[in-house]
Amino acid sequence: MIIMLLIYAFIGFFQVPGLIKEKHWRELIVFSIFYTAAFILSLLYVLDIKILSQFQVMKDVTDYVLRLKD
Amino acid sequence: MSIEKGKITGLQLTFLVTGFVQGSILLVPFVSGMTKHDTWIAILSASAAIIPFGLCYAALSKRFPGINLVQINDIVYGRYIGKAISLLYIYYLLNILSFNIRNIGDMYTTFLMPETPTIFFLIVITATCAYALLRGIEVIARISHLLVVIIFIVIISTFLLLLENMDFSNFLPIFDVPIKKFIFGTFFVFSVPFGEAVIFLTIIPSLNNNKHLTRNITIGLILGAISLFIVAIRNTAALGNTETMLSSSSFQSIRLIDIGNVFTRMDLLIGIAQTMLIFLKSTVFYYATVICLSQLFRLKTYLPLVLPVGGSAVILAATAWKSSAEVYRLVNSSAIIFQSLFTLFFPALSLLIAKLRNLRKQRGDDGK
Repeated sequence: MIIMLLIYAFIGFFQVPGLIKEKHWRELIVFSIFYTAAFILSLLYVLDIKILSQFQVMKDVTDYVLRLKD
Repeated sequence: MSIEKGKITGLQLTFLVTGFVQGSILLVPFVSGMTKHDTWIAILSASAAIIPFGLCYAALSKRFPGINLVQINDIVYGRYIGKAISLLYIYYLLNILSFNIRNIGDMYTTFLMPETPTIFFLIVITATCAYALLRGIEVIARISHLLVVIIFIVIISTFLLLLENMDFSNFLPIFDVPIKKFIFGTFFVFSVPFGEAVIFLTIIPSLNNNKHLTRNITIGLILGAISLFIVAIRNTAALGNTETMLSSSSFQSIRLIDIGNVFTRMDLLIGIAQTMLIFLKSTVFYYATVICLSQLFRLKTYLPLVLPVGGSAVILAATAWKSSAEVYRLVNSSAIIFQSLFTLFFPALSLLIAKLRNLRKQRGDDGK
């Protein structure tokens, strides 16, 4: 948990000041969205909360669309 | 305005494509599970079948020079449908990126360092790829020369060292596999190692001269196919039917090498080679993902997205599957059809629509 927080703190300190300094506001907004998404995903993982496997989702969607069964 | 300022040469593109296809060597055991000792025929058939699609990717890039996949989608399908298709592409790219990162993590925990948690390897490999990305496409393209040459040396030297363990009767009887399995295996090779080359539509705009683009892509695909072919021949000839029972036939076949008790335990060589290959392949996927995202949000640079996307990819990779049995079940499923939508269907449809509507990139049109 602490390592994860440190990693994300590092990413924030590494990226945000440069974006603000260069007035890249659009980049800052998009960065914030993906940064938050990545942080939430990592937090769920660290807290051992089940995250759906994307490959299973891919398989289930294709099965549903093509009306296939295992 | 282009997101990527760096430029690469045609030769570098050829090496990138070769290294990218070679990066799927880790997937050869999946194919062997379906096509057994006929894997080499499946690879040959898929190689022949991919050439028209390679030409399709090149034709698409030549029709829309200097613009990437997201911009092409916008022009061909219109602003809204184009954006929706680009979003699907990003979802696909992120998934395949996490699939490749997880593969290398699994390889390390299964064969080399079983005591270490997989997440550690996922973070390390993603951080390495992120570092390469922060340096730009030029650096990635330059190291591809070195990596591809090393991989060829490893493949050829291990083939030669294993010659005395090989039994070429292992290939008999030919076409013994049920036709349904053979077709699925061929389609897998066709769609995964080769079809994934569609993502070069995000890299080709950085080419300094696309005069020989078709030749560069075709040679890259052929060299990659030759590598997969040699690996398939080596594994089947050295291991025979046991190949289909192993999760990494390359590792097991290399372990057979024993020349005068001096050249033994060379599986580490395969470990290093496969790490380099997956690194290159993952970096290309990672690059394509951030380029597509940056283009979708019309950013000036892709650099701010590198680390957040990497963080998401690590977690998606860590939660992708629980065991190697599960990954076999997922790979041997309809998920491959989902993938072919992006690698085969959309590029072919884009080219068809572009030809029918006579769409081309206009001077000064940046595809927004």
